[in-house]
Amino acid sequence: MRFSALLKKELRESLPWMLLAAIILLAIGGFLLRVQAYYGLSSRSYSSLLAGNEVDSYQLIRYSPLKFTGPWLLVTSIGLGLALGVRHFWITLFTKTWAFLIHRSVSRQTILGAKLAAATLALVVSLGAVWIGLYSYAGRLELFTVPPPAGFFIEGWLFIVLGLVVYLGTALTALSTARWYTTKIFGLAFATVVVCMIFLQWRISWAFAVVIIGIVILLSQIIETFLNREF
Amino acid sequence: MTETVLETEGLKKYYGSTLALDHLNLQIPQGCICGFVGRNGAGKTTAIKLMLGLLRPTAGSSRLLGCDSQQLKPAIRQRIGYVTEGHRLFRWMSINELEKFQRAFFPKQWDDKFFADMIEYFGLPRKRKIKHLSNGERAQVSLALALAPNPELLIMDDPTLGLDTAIRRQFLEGMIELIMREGRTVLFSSHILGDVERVSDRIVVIDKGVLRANCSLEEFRAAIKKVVLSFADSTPAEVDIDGLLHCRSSEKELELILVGTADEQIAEWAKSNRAQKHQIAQMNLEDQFIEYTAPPNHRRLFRWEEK
Amino acid sequence: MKHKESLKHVAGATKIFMTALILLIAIAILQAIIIQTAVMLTIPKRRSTIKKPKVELSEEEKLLQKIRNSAKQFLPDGTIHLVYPLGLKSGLLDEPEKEEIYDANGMLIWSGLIKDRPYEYLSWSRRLSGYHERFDEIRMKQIQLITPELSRSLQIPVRVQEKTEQVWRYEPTRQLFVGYHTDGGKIGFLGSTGFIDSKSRAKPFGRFKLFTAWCPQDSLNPTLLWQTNRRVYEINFEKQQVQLIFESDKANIKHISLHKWRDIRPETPQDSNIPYRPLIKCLTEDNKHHLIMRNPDQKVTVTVDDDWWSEYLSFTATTKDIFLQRPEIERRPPANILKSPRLADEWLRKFEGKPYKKWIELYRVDNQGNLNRMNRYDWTIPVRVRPGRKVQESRPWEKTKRYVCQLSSPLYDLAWYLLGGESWVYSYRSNFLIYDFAQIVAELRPGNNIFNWLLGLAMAGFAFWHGRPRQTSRGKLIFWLAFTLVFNLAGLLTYLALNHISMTKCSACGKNRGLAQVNCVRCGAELPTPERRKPDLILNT
Repeated sequence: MRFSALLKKELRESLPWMLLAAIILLAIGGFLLRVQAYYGLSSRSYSSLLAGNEVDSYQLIRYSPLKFTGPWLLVTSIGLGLALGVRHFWITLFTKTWAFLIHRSVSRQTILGAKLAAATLALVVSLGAVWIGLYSYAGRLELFTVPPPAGFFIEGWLFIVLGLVVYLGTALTALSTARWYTTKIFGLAFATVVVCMIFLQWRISWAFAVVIIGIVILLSQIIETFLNREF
Repeated sequence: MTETVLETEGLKKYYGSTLALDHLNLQIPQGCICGFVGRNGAGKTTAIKLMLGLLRPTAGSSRLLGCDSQQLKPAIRQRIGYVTEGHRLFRWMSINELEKFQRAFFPKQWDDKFFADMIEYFGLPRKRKIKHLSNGERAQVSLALALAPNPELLIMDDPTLGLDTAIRRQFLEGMIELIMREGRTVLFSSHILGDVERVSDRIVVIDKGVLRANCSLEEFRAAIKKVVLSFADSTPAEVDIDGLLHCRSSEKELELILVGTADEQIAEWAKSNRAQKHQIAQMNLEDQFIEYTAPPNHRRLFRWEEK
Repeated sequence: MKHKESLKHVAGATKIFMTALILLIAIAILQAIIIQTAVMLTIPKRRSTIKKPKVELSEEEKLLQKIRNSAKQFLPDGTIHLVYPLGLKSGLLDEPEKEEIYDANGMLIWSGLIKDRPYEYLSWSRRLSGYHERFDEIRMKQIQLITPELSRSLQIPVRVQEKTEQVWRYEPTRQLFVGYHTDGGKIGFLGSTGFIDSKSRAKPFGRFKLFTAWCPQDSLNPTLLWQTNRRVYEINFEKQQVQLIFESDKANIKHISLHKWRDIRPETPQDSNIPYRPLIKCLTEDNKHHLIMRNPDQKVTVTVDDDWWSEYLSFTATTKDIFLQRPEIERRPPANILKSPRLADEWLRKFEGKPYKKWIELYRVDNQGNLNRMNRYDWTIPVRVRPGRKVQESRPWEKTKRYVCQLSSPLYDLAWYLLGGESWVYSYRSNFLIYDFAQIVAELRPGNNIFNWLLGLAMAGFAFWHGRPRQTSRGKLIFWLAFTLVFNLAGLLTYLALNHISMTKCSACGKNRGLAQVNCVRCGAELPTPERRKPDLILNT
């Protein structure tokens, strides 16, 4: 009951940002996907392939219909992670309501757990639902000749999990008691490094491994800092 | 034997290189209403937060209801009500939502009727959001939220800060309502001595992070005296009387602030130093506090010079 | 409590890792900025102002130079000619306009415009090269790189009169092609056994290595030559056919070379009169050359000596014969020496300042793969005719780079040694992360400089001076000293970021001590209690 009260409170605080992110992704990502469907294959003509000629292999490499939607998923995910991190940790700091929140008949772990659970749910529900919808739409064979492969669906979820990494980085930066010019911003910096490292991977399993390692590193520090931090 | 609900031992806190609290040794017995007073930056909020485990001490320890403050179990926290400095609440919640949120943590203790009565007494609209309430209204909500779970120990950090006289009176009346319940202990910090005088039976004074007084209010009131002595010729060059805190002189008058000096001793000293007359001036608690916490070389304008 | 202790240790370790990583990256970026700024601010001497020393060659040397610059061409009967280009036509490729043809004895047998050449020489198989002609494993990984636009895929169209009817997409995880109709619906799967309409029965091609694509003369649709570890396939999407061209039983395929295999228009307008047969040569890791020919279909395996330069052997097949061309150079290190960069360097140094021999041989290959030498031509490269070394431009910014790199961790040098040095870094290019890391290490490593170690020692000394009055345990201090020594500036900054605490003077011994410590690390004295004023009203009543 206590955990659910905390979780409801965090979700309620996250709600406007969840809705905003979902609407942006659905509207812009969906519109761009619809445009791709409308133009069909005519925009990707193979007219440069001529009989009796060598084929430049580059002409055979194509993006999926989700080419323009992917960046928006990444941007909304990172944006939502950042917004939730600010809302859950920074705003509480600025409004000085930490003491009111901490002095409760629950352990600090429970309070932190509620925040993390709320952020995860927010990302998964708001962006995940939209992503499932967009991916399913891109898989309609009557609209798109070549549907995106299953691996792209997982890549989309990878982008959503990156939002969680950014959330954890923002949380760690907020909880850190160091000065700005020392190590306070390292949480966000590390999250940025993890995001960049994803784009050096060509195997989805390695990308997830990098993300999981990043989450473990950030999470362990957040838990330890939160349990011992002074408010 | 009265149980000690709050005790600290050698509690020390540094913020960087700034010493905020220095070796605080304090015991608060059960059933006591303790006023925790000090000037701005004296260390009151620091002390309260250390006691509640919100800060980590540099040295020393503190215990609340028999439990180490740094490891306060949820079950112990459930017995402690806390009103934060500035009455910081979740601004986006309405009073109803806040009540629902708070109640979830006190499933067995929460007194619905008491909360409703308090809100009605203060005349607060339940559906209004916290951000649309005034400072005073927020303070009232804060108090209601802290009292509704019927806590054994209530700790309030400057609860009347920013409140006007009328609202402060209402707030204190609410406190008294609680105090009338047996066995409740209240610790509240304030620098409005009138409030402390009104409700407290014990006073704790902190000055620059150091504990200066921990006694009953009557003892504090009785101990600090201002004595004005008049002399025919000049005032004595040296003033050596037990309990002397401050000494100010003009040409023929001497004003002494004494702590714990008996009236007879004062009279004897006046006689031995050939004072024409001596008078123990009336001081209210605020005057006593100011004199008690004034620095040694505190200068005043015009007449009086410190000796 | 155990969990809390474990969490504390894990969090501590991750904090050190994270801080050190960020600082290493930040320092690397700063170093790169400083070096680039130095490069921009210091203008190197232009090449044109650097004068190469003019060398007067003797008649014999001039002749040897001419031989060196001539193309050694073979006629189908085995005769060798030396074709010497004259008069470069200025243009995009600086093509020679005229040529002289000499026989093996150096007699001029013809001179004139290239287009009027009366001889037709054998052309040879060659490895696929160039970004557009070959698509290899690295590029396949590159298109699968995770990007914001998600990954890309290989898609082969099937068109009917310029209209795309089908698209076949390669699925790297399943290692086969999936086909789709443009009007909606899945066609089926193309795998190693050909077209299958059921996913469960489709067989994968195997680990992809390389492909090349072309449109046959009678079709608008690409045909692919698809190489895996052990097999070579030809895939025709229009006919939905997969033909296994070659399969190696024992060893992986190293590389393939083609000659007249692809049914495409010739590069030059002249048609060849030599009746070639389409040929693929597969060199396997057991040093065997497998020749697959068509018209008629034939397979021949050629085994050569281990000390032959297998990578540079080329083949060609006519309706009558199969030929092998073998170029060689005296100073090429043998295979066993080539494995060690140090030994290879030593071998090459033997030829410093000395002339060396080159030769080229022509062999006939019989149907059993036996070789019969038809001709051989030798020539010498004298010392002064050898390709001149590039004149090093002076690079004034090198000094700045050297100083800046002393702030790097000595671990960069260790990584460089483990990676195998410059000549071996390129072999990691299929792993983007290691390759990028190797390039960073190459640019910013200190270069085993004693100054780097001295700087590390100085930083460790500073850490010791800073840490001794602040540390509660000797183990922690030793760890941080070692950390600073190993990571240099990044190590010192990490230490300071995580361990700096305010100091105060101990009231007992007068020395510096950490504020956060209850007891002084030097004398053990506790923090002092405040002075009590006499009139303090502390009455526990």
